[in-house]
Amino acid sequence: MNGRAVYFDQAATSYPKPPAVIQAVNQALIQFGGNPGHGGHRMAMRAAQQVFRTREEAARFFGAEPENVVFTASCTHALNMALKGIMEVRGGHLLASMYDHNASLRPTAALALKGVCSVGFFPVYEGEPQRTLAAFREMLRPDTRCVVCTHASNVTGAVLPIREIYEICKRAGIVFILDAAQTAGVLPVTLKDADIICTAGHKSLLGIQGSGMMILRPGLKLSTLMEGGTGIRSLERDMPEDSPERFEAGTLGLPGIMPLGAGIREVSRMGLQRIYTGEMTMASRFYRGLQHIPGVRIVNRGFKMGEYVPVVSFCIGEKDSGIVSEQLSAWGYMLRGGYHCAGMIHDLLGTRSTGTVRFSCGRGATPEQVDGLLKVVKKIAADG
Amino acid sequence: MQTLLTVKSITYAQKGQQFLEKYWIHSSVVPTPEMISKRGCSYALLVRGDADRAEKLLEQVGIQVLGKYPYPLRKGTDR
Repeated sequence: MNGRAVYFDQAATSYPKPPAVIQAVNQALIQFGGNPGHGGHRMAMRAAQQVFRTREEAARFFGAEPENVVFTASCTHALNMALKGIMEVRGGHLLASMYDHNASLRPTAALALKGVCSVGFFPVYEGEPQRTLAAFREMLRPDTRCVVCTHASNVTGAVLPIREIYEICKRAGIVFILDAAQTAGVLPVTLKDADIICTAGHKSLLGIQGSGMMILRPGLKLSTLMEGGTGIRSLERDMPEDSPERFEAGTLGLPGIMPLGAGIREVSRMGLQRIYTGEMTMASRFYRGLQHIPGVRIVNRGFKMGEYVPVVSFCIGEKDSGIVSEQLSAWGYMLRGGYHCAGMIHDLLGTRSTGTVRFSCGRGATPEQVDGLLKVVKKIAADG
Repeated sequence: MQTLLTVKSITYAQKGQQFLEKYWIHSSVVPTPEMISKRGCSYALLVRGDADRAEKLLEQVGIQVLGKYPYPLRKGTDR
């Protein structure tokens, strides 16, 4: 290892961050040191203005109202808030996709364990949306109250037929929660696609780690995941009824919120189409190159534009993917190996024994970097 | 004379302030004085101008005005 690092793990967190995002962290710490929404003095009010500014940016981006943008610590935090908040009010049956991340799967398991609701899982047939939809319909029950589904797999990048799923949910009066961790900032996602959107701030929205959002359709009733100080109605014991304060107990993380606003502005400036096309061009190059390497099995069922986000998973023979990842790291290529915190998808992909090595690229990836990585993969595969 | 329009939260106050600006009604987001906010901390819009019109406009966009209070200019706070 010579110290060079080529980063292909954008699905975990984006790197490097745009200068405007780094500047926003500094601004938050230096210029806006007050506690936003907790106090009426000038510094607190100036900090609160910055929070509202990001709320507005996010609301525009996701087709929501600012008061329905809830800041969270991560997408996992947002999904916990949404799933537990809805099911504790509604009860009944909850349905999740088998392509979901543990950020959804584990809260559903916890809800089932506590007896709050029953839980089912529908399979996803990559590249066969109609078959997936048929499987989804089959799993619905008269008492299904909520569906959670990832927009795109964090393992293979496959985009799920979420618009059709939402239409079915709407007709049945089922709340649809969308995990947009892998798509927000790459593909269009708005409240036309779901009742609740949960997303990370630090992936393709280019914010920093420790930031996320839950975005709500107006009128939804959710119980609270956490209770505490909100800066309003301090003499009451109950949490306020209205979003976002109802869901934002404690001091907000302005040094995460301001960079998230800067990241969203950067994504809007670049344009989703341009970002998606650029990243997919590099990921397609990698996908095509992998197809010609003996001993490599590509886990994705295809890689068409529009059907995937720029994520490609592969295995080398029966090698442990964690070890392959370590070898790539020693050559200077940062790719994640293992199970990617997705507990059920590996049964569908046949990768339970090996896991996968995941390639995910961002805006800065170059053809030379991709070709360099392919050479190293070829060498590792040849060495056995 | 200014008028204090109390609303549910700082977020609604901020949204309301921006909305009123579009109609050339100037306001600022301020903490509600304790003697008015009976439930503890809250925020309000301090409106300079036609408060009745401001109230109607706010309610058009779903911002409920909880109370309306005449608010005298206070010495030493306007900086």
